[in-house]
Amino acid sequence: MTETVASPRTQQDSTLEHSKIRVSADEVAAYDHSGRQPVLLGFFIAVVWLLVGTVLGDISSFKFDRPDLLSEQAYLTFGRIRPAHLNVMVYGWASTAMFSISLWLMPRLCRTRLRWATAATAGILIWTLGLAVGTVLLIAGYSDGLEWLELDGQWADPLLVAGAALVGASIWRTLAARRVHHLYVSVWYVAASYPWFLIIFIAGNLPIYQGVESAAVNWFYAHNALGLWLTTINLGLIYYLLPKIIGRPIYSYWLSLVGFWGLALFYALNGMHHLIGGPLPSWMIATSITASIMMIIPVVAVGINQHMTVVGRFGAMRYSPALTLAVIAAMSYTAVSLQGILTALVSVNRITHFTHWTIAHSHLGLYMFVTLSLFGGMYYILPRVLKKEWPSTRLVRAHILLVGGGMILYVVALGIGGVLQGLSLLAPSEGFEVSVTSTRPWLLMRSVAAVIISAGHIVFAYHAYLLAFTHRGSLTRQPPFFELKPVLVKKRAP
Amino acid sequence: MLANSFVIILLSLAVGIPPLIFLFMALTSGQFDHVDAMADSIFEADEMRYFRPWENRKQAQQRLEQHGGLLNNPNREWERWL
Ligand code: HEM
Ligand code: HEM
Repeated sequence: MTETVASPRTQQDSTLEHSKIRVSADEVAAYDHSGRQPVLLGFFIAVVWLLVGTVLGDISSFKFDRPDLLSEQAYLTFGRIRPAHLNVMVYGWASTAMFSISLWLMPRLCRTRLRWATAATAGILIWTLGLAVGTVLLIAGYSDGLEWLELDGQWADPLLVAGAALVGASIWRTLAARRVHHLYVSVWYVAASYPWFLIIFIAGNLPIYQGVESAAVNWFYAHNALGLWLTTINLGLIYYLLPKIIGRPIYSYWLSLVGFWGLALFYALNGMHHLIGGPLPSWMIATSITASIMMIIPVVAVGINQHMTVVGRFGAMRYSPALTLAVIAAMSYTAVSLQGILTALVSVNRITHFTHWTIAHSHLGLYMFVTLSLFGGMYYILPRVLKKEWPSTRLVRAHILLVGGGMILYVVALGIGGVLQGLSLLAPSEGFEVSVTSTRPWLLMRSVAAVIISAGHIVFAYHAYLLAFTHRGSLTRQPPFFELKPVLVKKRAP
Repeated sequence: MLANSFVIILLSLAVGIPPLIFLFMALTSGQFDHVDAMADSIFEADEMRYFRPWENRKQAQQRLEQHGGLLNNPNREWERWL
């Protein structure tokens, strides 16, 4: 009896205390250390997949300029290389890096060490094995045939489910063992993503749907994979990084909760906007378009909140690559969502559907938002877990300028090319070839961008190698006992 | 013909209803009280006192007044990269 009465009070007490008592740097270092193994493993595997996916993306892009390129062997044809690019990037690069980010964030935010770290490590390995098997089968011509769900249902998908479930188990076990009562907004985002992903991935892969229903479930899955998996973990990370680096709390904690719950409650209804114009009941399309427009609420809430947190301090970006990337990613989230809402309107979709505009949107979302946020996370997390700083500011600069500049070119070129293509496709007087010719210069520009971005990826992988496997980053440039010497800087402020 | 896709309705509910239940649970367990303290909870001891090289005089002064005498960040993380 006494215990049941006592426990809620204890929880309340600890709530009040934890917000007042700041966690010590040593304690935080211990939390980082507890997840060291799976976090580093995940990042390592993610960078390898990034390089593989880059080669596949480059080949896919070059094939638009020279359709005969590498077409002699069936496994090098566009129909295999392109889905391999999608799956390697989404499940290999983004998802594996997101595992590491979640496993690093949770102990810090729950103020306890990572639980079941070995299960998480096993999960990452099983996931990677599943993806490797699936990708090889895909290249060999075995595909489930639904976009985003191509990986083999028998050999690859069960391994992916087991892998994500193990990582998720570690996340939820850590959550259950938390030493704080209140959940910081990033915890909501990260913890919710795992059950969401498992539900949608399993449901999407069940081999029981037929005809139009199969297409509907396909896009239910793909859109939720974007919104309730790729988006959520990265927003969770950005909500942590922005205030941390800037050194002031998030502008409005309330707004951040509105953003999370808005997404959680409305996102699932969005999927059918990928099938506008398709043979689906009109109520399904109408519902999804309405839900898309309603997404303006969480999107604007997140946008305003993140902007107001950084406003007046954009100069900080010159000092922190992690912040630079997180800020660009946050802005891109707003941009891609507004572009998406526009694209979901029937009058716009009529022009842009089946065009490169959608690819521009995809990469604005999956690159400028997701990938840059992941790079930002790695710039912040790796030095803390490895206890070394990134060795070269030059390489940081080269990486960010190459990938940022390259992707802007990619998105702008395909955005313009896509609209021209769409208008041309709709013009009754123009033949189909006109729509093809009108896009060629823009596709060439995308290939130039592809080369620039690939160079950026090589620079990043090399820099990560230097950081992790050499001693360069551990050279401290500060005088001994620097840490112990508090300095009053009132006069030094510019 | 597919007039009502029960699968999609069921799946949307499976994904959308649990958050609603969690929202109510969060409300009743006081997750939305003390929001300011929550926003502050991610900072380590003394972290807010680190002198940030990008802050102007007013911002540094504000930091000093709110959090106490400024300290140098012990990590080499804020080197100009651009
Ligand atoms: C080197 C950088 C990249 C290049 C050159 C590149 C290139 C391409 C190309 C050529 C396509 C096929 C477009 C088409 O079918 O018309 C494509 C599709 C796609 N890429 Fe990338 N990509 C890159 C990076 C990424 C990254 C990092 C991600 C994810 C994290 C990604 C995710 C996707 C997705 C999801 C699609 C399918 C888009 C859709 O169906 O709308 N890409 N990419
Ligand atoms: C409110 C937010 C958003 C809305 C309303 C929206 C809307 C849309 C629409 C209507 C399409 C279909 C275009 C077509 O096929 O004609 C689409 C495709 C896509 N969106 Fe979004 N979007 C949003 C946010 C995002 C975000 C945040 C991301 C990335 C993280 C993203 C990534 C993609 C991708 C990859 C596709 C292409 C899927 C494929 O064909 O393979 N979207 N979006």
